[in-house]
Amino acid sequence: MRRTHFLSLLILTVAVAGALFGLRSMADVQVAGQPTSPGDQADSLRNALEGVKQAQQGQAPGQPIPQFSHKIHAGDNHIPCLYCHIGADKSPVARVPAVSTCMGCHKLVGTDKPGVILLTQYWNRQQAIPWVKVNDVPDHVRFTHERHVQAGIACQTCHGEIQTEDHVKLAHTLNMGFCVTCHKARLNDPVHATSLDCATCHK
Amino acid sequence: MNEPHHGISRRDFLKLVGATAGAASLTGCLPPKADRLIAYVNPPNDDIVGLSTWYASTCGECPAGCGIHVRTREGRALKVEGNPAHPVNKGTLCVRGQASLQGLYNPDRVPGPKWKRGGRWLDVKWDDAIWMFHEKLAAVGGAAGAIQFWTGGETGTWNALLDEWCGAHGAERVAYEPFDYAPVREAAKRAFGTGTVPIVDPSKAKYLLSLGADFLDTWGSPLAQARGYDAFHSARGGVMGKHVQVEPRLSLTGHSADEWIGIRPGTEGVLALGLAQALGGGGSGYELARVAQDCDIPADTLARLVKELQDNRPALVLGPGAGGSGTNATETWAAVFYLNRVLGAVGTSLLPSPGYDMGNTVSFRGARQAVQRLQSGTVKLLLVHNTNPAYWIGNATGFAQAASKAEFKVSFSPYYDETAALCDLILPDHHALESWGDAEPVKGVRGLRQPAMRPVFQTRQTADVLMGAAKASGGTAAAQFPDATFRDYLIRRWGGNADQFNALLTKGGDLPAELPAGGGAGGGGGVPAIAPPAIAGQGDFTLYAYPHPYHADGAGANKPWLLEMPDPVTKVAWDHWCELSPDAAKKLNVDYGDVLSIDSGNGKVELPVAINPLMRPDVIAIPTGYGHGEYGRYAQGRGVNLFDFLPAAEDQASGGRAFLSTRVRVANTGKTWTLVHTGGPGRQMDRAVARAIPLALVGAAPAKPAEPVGEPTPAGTDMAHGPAAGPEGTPPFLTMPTFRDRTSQLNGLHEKELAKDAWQPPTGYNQYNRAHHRWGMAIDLSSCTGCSSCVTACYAENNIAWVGKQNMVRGREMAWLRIERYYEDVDGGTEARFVPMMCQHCGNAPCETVCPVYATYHNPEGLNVQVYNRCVGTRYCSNNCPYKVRAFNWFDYDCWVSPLDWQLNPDITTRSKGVMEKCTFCLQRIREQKDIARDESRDLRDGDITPACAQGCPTQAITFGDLADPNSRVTKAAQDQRSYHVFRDLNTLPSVTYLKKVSRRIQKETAVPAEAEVEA
Repeated sequence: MRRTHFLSLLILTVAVAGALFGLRSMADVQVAGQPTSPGDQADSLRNALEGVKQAQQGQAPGQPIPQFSHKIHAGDNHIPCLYCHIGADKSPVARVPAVSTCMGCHKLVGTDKPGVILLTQYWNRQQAIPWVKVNDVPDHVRFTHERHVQAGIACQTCHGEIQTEDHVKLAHTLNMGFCVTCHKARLNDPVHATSLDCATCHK
Repeated sequence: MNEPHHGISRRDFLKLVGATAGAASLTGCLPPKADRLIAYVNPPNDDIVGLSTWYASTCGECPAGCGIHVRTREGRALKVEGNPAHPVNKGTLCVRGQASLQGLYNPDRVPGPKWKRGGRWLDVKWDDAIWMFHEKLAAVGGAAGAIQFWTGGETGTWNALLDEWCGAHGAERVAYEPFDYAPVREAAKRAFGTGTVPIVDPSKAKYLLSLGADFLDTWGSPLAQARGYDAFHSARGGVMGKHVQVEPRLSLTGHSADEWIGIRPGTEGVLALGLAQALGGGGSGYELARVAQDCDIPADTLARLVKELQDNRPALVLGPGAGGSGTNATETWAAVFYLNRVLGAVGTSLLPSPGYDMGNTVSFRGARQAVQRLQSGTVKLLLVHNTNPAYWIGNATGFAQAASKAEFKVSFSPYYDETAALCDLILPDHHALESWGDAEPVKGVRGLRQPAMRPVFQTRQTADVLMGAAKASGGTAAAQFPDATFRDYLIRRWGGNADQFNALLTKGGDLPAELPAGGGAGGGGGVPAIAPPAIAGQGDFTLYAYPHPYHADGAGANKPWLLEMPDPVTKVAWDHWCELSPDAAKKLNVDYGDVLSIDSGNGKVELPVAINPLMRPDVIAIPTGYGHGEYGRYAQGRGVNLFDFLPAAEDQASGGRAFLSTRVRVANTGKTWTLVHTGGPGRQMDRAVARAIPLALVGAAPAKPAEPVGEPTPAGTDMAHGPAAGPEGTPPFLTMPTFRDRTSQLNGLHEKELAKDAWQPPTGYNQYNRAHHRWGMAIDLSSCTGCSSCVTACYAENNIAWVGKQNMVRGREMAWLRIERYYEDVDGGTEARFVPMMCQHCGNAPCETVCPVYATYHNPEGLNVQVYNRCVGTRYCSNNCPYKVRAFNWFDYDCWVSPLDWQLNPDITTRSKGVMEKCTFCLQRIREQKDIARDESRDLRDGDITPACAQGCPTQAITFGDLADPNSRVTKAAQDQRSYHVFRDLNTLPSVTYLKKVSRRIQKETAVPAEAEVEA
């Protein structure tokens, strides 16, 4: 390894570290002032975590098939959400479609498009597509799609105007406040009364 | 170094590593990397992600062949439950069945084929291993007796295939199990002409005399027997049969008995003949006076037994289990069968035909002869499947040395057991939960076994390996096995129609509703004769080696759940022990944990002492199943291998192993051993936790008016004395006050706090009044046998960590449910009582008021809920809990060693360090059933929801349901005359109601201090 190569590598490493550190400081900006009491500390911790969440909100991470677009599928072509996310009305898990589901159409449709070619490569290798999770709740939360879908909650309520998005982004933080706001509002709903019992969601 | 050097220098490299590590540590401060969503490539038809898929199958843990339902999620088996359609277990499941999951996911399984070279196991490919196996088979060339095939006691298709395969290859089959019931089967052959273990149904008897059979834990088919026993003994309807247990050492089964009588070991047959003669059954020479002397039982006790047997026909008598099997075991059982005939039990409660098929095992004698042939060198190829002779008869027969004479040894064991360790090649079999197969425990009851998941490791089902070998060998052997796979072979044996086969698979097999009752078979004969057992050795103590209720023959010894769970009798966990009577312990000046040396003349071992309150003082009892030299990290080096320690004695008539065969010299070594025992003093100290009611009072009207006076209990919430009048609109039996009750109307305890505004309900919580359900549980202490199946089920369902011995010593076990075992002095001796103790979900919970962060609170449906991610670990709640049912995570326990973690239930949070946890009434099961009910647009029905503990309970002692439903079973149980709350005087208003044990041996109830005061 030549010296110049080494130096450039070193500079690159330091730059990456710096950038990451900077990001962390940005998250810290949310913590205003110095904590003075245990209560404040808890608050500042919560704010910091909230800050991280806020930073994620609106972000759309890169996906293994970057060309895949909800806008084309759900928006332009009006494919119902449940056509692919088949678990949403009968299981806690909405489900990401199996590769075979995609291939059901794309054996014939758009076979010359780069995204479909990528998809076909996964299919030919019989390999799962490692989609990156955008919407997520912590492991101690029990969220069931089925109950929400059957109560008539539109997918967009939590997932945003997904039929207009080429790249899925995190529309809402999906933190406890987000859930509770809605549950509180519908507490006395005549048909689908919600519950504010902790055990409804905490498992 | 003058050479021009390329690449990176050492110094540069270190700098680079340093910089990268720095960068990496900074990234640790950032939110974790996004998770991936991995979907199926081709989704399976029968799997909905997020919902459970159930498979009906057959348990493979013992020859009882119980039907099971295996719950799977996303292709992994998570929980095993009983199949309600199976006539043997009818939906219940024992400890060993519950723990079969830890056999499936055991980290010490053989991960793939292994070949031993130079004393080390090498990985080989399946193709190569199979090729090696085929080569060795071909080399033997089908010469008669050149192959010896050791197997377990099998039934059904697999048994047939083994016989067929051995026939085709000229192999000798040796089916050996240590607890093979050889004496019982031989005696049944003589008495009834059957040769099977008779089906025992105590529900048809009025009196049960067990001469040492531990029929509720290991003997026979414990689940079927426990069900019959519950009908016989639970006093529902005020009728309760009497159970007398006569044995040298109080067994788990003996804990349920109405009377326990100590007997000199090995004299059970004499007692049976004496009773038969006194009852007019003929015979001579067995006068009660002589019997009393032989058996060391007072003559007046015997006279009373005779009278009771006379008055309570039909009476059922059972003989000794493995522990009491001496050299005269067959005669003993023959005498027992004879007595049953005299008492009219044969054909009613003792059903010899068809009986339990324990597989075509050879006896201990047969196994010894097989080892002699092995020793002679005629055997070239030794095959071993599902049996462990090196552990069971290693010392008794010199198995290891004899096996070394065989040129090549192949084991099909899924575990590195003692016998596999002697072999040259391991071709690991699937676990029963990954296998195809069937079982026919009783003729006419055919259970099917199907894989509940894909194999965890690179294993192959031995049936397929054998069929492949037969095909490869060509000729007649190949023609005998035309099927492509064992599944095809199975379908052919089941009629050949794949659709029909699949339909049966969903049901669990071809199952009649009840066990076939062919009644008393023929035979008969005269009065059997009996010789005293030959007990060798010198010393003051007779060694009583009994099968451990969990580990049995040692197959369960590498399952952490079974090691962590205290033994139901001695309450010892993780360690091996020997049991002494209190008198003997006093004489030797030892207590729990003191180490004794036990010398049988041909061996000497040291074991710590545990005290059993009811034992003959001249007996020392030791459970089997410990002392593995191989088998895995949890089993190895734990205690003593009793099979090796026992002399090689056999029952003369049947050739079965005589476990009762030696006297031992016992001495105090002066050493002590840290023995974990969770039993405490075993006494209630007047706290009335485990209450009992005299049998005479069952069904009688309560002596006092229902409503107690002067208690701080809200009106309508008391139920210790039957139904009380409730406020308008609330059912009278409500045990848990509503939110309204708590805050305003009734509960004086909270008024001060409320006045000070110290505690206000969060916004929105006024919906408490809208709750439709009030979950509650009722536990019938008269039914509980202390078997601990519920405890294992709870571990399996709720991701409970096991903590290991070192943490258990410090009292850190995490069990949400424990079986408390108390001894009570009653008329004429000691009575045992079991209390399953879990979170009582108190209506007025002491834990809730002290939590500073609102992590534990009361939910609208009466549950005391713990919110794990809110818990900060102050442990105030546990401190304030009078029932001591909360468990704190002192560490992140390293207990889910991969792949044990595959078993974790995704519906529950797996708790981490610093978090308090406790019983949730299986909240996830409540939610699941609610979801199902909503999908079907109906209300929840009584019985929809069963927590894990209630589901598997062999006697269905636990009832769960909705206390707000006046017609639910739990409400009915809670209204029962026998119902009470533990520590009612503390006004905790529990949701768990206990039903007092019905006792024959008390005349009146023990006064409960607080209540006596109230009622005075």
